[in-house]
Amino acid sequence: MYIKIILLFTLVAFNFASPNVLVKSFVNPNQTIESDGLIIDFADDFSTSDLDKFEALHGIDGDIVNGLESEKVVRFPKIKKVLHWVKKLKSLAGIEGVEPNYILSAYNVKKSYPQPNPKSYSDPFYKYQWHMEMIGQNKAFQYTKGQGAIVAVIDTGVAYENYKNYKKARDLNQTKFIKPYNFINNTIHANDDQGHGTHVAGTIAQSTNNGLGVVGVAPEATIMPLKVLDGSGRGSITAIARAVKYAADNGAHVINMSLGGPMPSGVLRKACQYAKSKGVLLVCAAGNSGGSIGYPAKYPECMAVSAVQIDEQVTFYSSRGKDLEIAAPGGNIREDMNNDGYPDGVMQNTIHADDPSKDDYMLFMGTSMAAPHVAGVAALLVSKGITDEPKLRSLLKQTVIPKKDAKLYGAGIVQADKALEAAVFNDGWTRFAIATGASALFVGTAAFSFPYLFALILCSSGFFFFDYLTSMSLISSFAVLPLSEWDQFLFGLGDSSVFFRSSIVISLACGLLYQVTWLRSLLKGACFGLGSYLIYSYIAPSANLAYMPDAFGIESMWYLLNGLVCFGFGIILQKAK
Amino acid sequence: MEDGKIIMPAGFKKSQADIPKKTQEKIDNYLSENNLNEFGDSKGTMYMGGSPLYNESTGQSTDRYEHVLKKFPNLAKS
Repeated sequence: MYIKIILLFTLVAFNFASPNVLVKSFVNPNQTIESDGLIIDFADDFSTSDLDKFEALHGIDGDIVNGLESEKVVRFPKIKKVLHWVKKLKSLAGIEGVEPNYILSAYNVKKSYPQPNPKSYSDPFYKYQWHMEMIGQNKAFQYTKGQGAIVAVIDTGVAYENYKNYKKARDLNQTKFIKPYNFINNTIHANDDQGHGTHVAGTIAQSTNNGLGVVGVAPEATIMPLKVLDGSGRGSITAIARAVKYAADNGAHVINMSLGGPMPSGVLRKACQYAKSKGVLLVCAAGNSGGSIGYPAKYPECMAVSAVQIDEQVTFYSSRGKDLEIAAPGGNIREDMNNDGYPDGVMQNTIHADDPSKDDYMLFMGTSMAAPHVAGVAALLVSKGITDEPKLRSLLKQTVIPKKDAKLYGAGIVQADKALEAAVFNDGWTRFAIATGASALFVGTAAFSFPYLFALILCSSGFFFFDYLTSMSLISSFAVLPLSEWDQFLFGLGDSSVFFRSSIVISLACGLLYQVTWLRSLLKGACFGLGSYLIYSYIAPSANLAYMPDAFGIESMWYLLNGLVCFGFGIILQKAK
Repeated sequence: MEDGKIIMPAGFKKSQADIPKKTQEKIDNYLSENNLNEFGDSKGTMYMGGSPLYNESTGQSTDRYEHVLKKFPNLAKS
């Protein structure tokens, strides 16, 4: 069966003699590529009248992609000698990019598709959730299920409660919700009257292993339902800006916005800047225009997400451009490439748009579906104590399935298991390495004793290599974290305690117990362990400190000074007779 | 609890819009004069998925002019 997928490739890598005939691709000898005219990306200040003049001058006629006036991507389908036109136009002023509009006949592109193992969960329709398998959701479960993380879903509302005609969606029966708000009628009932927001929330935190329907990326994360779009899917910038601020002020760690518009807004930008300044990660759908990225996704404060389909190729509808940061499964319900009998959309539980009291399992496709996969993975990282927004963002991007064309995929396709592995093991090993290095330098390996090593590991990295214990009991989940991060069990996730991340306790302990010689090994290990933890936090912060301004590097200096104080006490103990 | 069923998405059809250039200009002028965005809504309107022209539950795309004409049918008249 011939399946046609329209793809945009950069021209640079291609070199062919007759661009408008079928050509063999270097990517895969089985792929057959043809181009359907030309695509031109004009500069942002290129107006519609400029386009008319351009068309008249060159005698060509184009269609603005998806008809968005503000988009500057124009398709010229009737152009035949594509390469000739590419050479002719690429250096002209006002043109940012020009390339053939490739059509890929993909009958042999990829024969194996992500295949969920039905035995993994008791949820019967999990076997159709190829998108969860694509992002490594199942493997990520050994590390965390998202407990403690709060994700605000700014959308059409969520079917999270039984209220008047609204019913809670069945497969959200174990999902946790917090502080809902309806910014359209200013009530605390953020019920979904469209179905979009419930589908999005399901991707993030669908109740999992409950014997019903489907699974979510981070089922133990808490959803904050914020309704800003009405039943027709429309909403105002003011409502969205208010919702972003509300989420930031009410403890959200991640905000998912599967919405947007073609025009920038200062009010919304400020709200996004405010949320980011409070350490909130903003994840946004890039848009479904097939052209350039919409707002708020385009703001640098937000993480713009493009959509891929089951064969890991970007979808025809996904917006694209240099502001993309990452890609995730958005699906394509026009295809059934894996022959499972259902279109390759993203399957979640949601309400019927014409009757909010009914819910079933629906296959949607869009960047709206891609964004919550990223938000869900971010929630998993948050639940592992990564609450620093830049670190969250960089971990998400560093652990992707890499893709070459950043304008289509950003860094690549988000990977939950790889992100978790990096968060748990990279930090753990690095802290442990700093601690042992400092110990070898200042103490010497001869002084390594069991109490010393125990305290060193506990305070520097925690027993992270026993991470699989986290699912066994609360006590074991303490042990895998460094001592300084135990505050999250006492106070919850969020800004971290200054007290726990300082030299205060260890300084007092050293002062009081200095004379107790049999405790010195333990104290010394704790000093070098904690010092290593704090020095590493100075190098690579993973959480914001509560009540500590980040301006002028004050927070960084706090970590550095306290780390050095700990080392100082360790050296004093080492020299004590 | 009884489980739900999988709903197959409604089929999509390719947009057949063939709006004359003159009507397109009329639409653009109307939107500009009335301070509306390109979709015929007030400026500052945001959309589910980023655009009212694409339906994520069906995969249906709609031409922009077709979309605006549905909203303002009088603009189709000469």
